[in-house]
Amino acid sequence: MKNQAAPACRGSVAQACKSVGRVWLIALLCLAHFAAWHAVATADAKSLPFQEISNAAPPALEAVDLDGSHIALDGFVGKTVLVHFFATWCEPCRPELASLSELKAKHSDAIEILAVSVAEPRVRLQRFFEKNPVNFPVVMDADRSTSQAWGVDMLPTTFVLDPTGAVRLKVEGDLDWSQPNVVARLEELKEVRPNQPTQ
Amino acid sequence: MVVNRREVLKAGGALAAAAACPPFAFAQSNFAPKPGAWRTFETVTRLEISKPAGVVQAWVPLPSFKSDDWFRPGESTWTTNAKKAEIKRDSKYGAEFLHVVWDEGEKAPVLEVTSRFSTQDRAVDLSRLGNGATLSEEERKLFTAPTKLIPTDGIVKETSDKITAGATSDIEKARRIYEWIVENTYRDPKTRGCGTGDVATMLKSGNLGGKCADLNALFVGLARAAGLPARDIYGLRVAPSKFGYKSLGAGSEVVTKAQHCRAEVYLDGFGWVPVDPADVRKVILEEPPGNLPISDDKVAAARQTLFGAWEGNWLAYNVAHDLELPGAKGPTLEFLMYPQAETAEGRLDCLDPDTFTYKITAKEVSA
Repeated sequence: MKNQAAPACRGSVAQACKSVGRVWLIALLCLAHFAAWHAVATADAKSLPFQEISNAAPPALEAVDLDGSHIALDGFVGKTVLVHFFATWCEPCRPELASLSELKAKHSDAIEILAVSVAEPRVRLQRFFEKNPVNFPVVMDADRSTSQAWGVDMLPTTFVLDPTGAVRLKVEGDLDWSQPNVVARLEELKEVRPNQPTQ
Repeated sequence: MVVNRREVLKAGGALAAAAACPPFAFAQSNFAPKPGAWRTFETVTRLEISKPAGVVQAWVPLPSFKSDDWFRPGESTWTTNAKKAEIKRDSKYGAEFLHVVWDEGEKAPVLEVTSRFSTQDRAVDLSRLGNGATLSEEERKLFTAPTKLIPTDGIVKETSDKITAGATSDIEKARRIYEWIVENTYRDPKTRGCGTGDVATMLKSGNLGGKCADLNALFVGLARAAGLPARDIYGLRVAPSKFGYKSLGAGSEVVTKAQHCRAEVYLDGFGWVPVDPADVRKVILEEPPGNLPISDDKVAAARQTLFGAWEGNWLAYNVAHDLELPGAKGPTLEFLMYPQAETAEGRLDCLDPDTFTYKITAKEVSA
């Protein structure tokens, strides 16, 4: 790269000018790169669909899955957990279940998913999941008490809990969980410890 | 994030102007139900529990709504191999249903219920105050109270207040709510979620598409929030529309999936006034050739008529909400419009008659 210093610089002064010029150029390039990275990072952060939640303790969740087994949320501590409220009749819910299965398949060592069906009979869920299998447990909230306790106002709604069991994120509406910025946000939660800010 | 919520609330104000338009602004039509000719119908509901397990029970709604001027429930009879079958009546709303219990181990539980009722068209003259039946204080309280699926506070009240702002009479409030539902309740493909089943979350989600039980419940919720007694009536279409609307009647004698919920609003001086904004949306969506514009003549005629009038081609079961089914292990029923059953495996899916299994037929008979 040519030194753009004034043509009047000559000899050792010229050499010094060249070095200073290179330093400034490198500094300018670094600054430009940082600005561009920051813009992208800021845009990504703003475009994430998550509502950040300050370290909230989740309501209790203990329910029965489609095979009749009891599943409790506190059995999942140690991993990032997605508690996902849905209904098979809700059109946006259906493709998201497949997206969640893919997420679980790719990150099974770090992520658990617990899907909660709101006010649907078991036989309907069994028929649905026979045709659309998923790789995570599905429990039933037949009388809506769990979705009400969790403050669910829309289906689908997903709460993301960190490995200590604290609620950190909430998503209302469907989401493509394969998006790199979404996965990156979930990866960040792996390292969260109690009372640690998430931003 | 709720999509379109602010736009939806703003539209309430815009609709005030639309609601003030006189009837002649809509298309002329012959969709004019007129009381005067009672019709008697007979329905047969047949259940065959295809996968019995443990103790099997069923609860089948019976025509139990009564109104001297348009609906008279008749007798229900049944045949079954159950050990017990008796008519039960909910004390709060008067909903009647047949409760049937089979012996544990019964391999082929079967039930057939035959019910009769008489009905006729309804049309309330809204151009002048009549001698509408008065409403007792107890009924007024019952039909302005919230239910599990129909809250009347929060966003429901907020939306109702926006829609009815400046209205100077109860009938104006009711009509504005009706028109708002006709104008706004469609499925916007851009919305990313659904309500959870109650009218508040429906409004919060911004996903205002839905079936009759959703849209007419929304009418009832908004009306109650405005202080107007209102109620859903859960029922079943039993005959074609005499006015040629394919979407507003039963297409054949098999009415297994023809359940339909209508609504009423109580207006002083007029009594209970029939409304059905959900059926206006059904005409838009389903009346051939389908997906009609809201300006279509058939839609305009339905919109005009279904505030204040109904055709008598429909069975009124009940107005019950949050019903405890006696003997049931499953949850409280938010409304009773379909046969219900349970086995040891849990509650059967009333929206899937082919695996339940049940079939309902209807025919007109001599009185």
